[in-house]
Amino acid sequence: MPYENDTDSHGQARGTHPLRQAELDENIKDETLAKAAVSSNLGINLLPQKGFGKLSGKSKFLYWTTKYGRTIVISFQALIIVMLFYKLFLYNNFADTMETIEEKTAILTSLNQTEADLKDVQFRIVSLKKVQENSFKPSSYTELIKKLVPQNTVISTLIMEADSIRLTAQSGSLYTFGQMLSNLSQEKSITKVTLLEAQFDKDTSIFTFNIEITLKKT
Amino acid sequence: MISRFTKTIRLLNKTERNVYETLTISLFAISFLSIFALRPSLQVIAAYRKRLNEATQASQLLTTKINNLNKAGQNIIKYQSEIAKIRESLPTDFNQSNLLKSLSFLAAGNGITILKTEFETTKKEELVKLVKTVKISMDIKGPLENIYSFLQKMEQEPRYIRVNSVIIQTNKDITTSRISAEVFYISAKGK
Repeated sequence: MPYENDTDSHGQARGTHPLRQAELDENIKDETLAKAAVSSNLGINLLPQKGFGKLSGKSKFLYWTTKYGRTIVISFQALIIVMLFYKLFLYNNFADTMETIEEKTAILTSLNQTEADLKDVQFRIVSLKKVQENSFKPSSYTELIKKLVPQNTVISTLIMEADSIRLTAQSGSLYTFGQMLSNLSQEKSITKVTLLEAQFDKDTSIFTFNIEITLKKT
Repeated sequence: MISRFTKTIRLLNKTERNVYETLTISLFAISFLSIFALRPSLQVIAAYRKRLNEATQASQLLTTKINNLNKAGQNIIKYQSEIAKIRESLPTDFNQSNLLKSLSFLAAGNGITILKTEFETTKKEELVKLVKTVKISMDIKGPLENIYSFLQKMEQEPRYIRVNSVIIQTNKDITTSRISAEVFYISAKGK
């Protein structure tokens, strides 16, 4: 027994470190068991020739490859195959969607005229609304004048603008003028009445006036 | 640092060392495969998913647009007469003689006389982009009631005429009026 004398194969003295001693003891046990198997004439040795720790780097790698490596590689391969199928599934969906888009684009091309017509109508409506802003209807103003100005008042000048009416008129009497002012003050669409000029001719009893009516913005 | 590491390795027993060595190689293999085998596949999948999402979104938008256009097409047919009126009120061109004809017709119908009509293409800034303005200045003569009626009929014209101001003057029995208005048309060049 070479280890009994605590020397190695080169005959050098070994240390007495407890860990080292345990390793030596284990090796001795392995060797003893191996010898016992041989001596029993069975010819079977199930024990490994060398431990993983004693193998060279290349052998260690080969040992690892056959034991753990293949499990890892196979797992990764399985994962990559699953991914490949998922990729194919996605590609298939993408191709279908692209085909649908092409069909829809063709439909849209056929609807180009409708789109152009629609845009034209929308543009005209928006433009009309814009140009109609701040405009006024002369007929509504004339209706207002007919309603507010008493019958024996003669209008000599009438100016109608976007939010104002200016009129120069002659009333047969002061009472008629007063009646007109009363009508103007009661009208809700009028915001301001300004008397610009007023003249009363005693001889003819004619009351001439120039008035400006400011209307509410619609 | 290295000597300390070596010392630690030496202190490990055989089983522990085996486990660590196996674990190190396994981790290295997993990292290697993750970087060179798994990562490219994941990148491709991510790219495909992104493209698929974009394509799906585009497809949905196209469906919405097709549906809306179909609906709009039906409405265009349904409201054809109203659309024709809109086109007439804001035409694509300015035909002076046609406008003059319709105004003369209107004046004759209301018993008034057109004394003078002036058209002026404005060079000022457009109210709406691509919409051109033509100013009209018109002097008319006739009874006051007829002038009122003429103004009312002008509002009802198929072509939109925007009245800016009306000046009516009565001198003895003669009533004259000056109407300042504007008509609009869409510039065909801009379209």
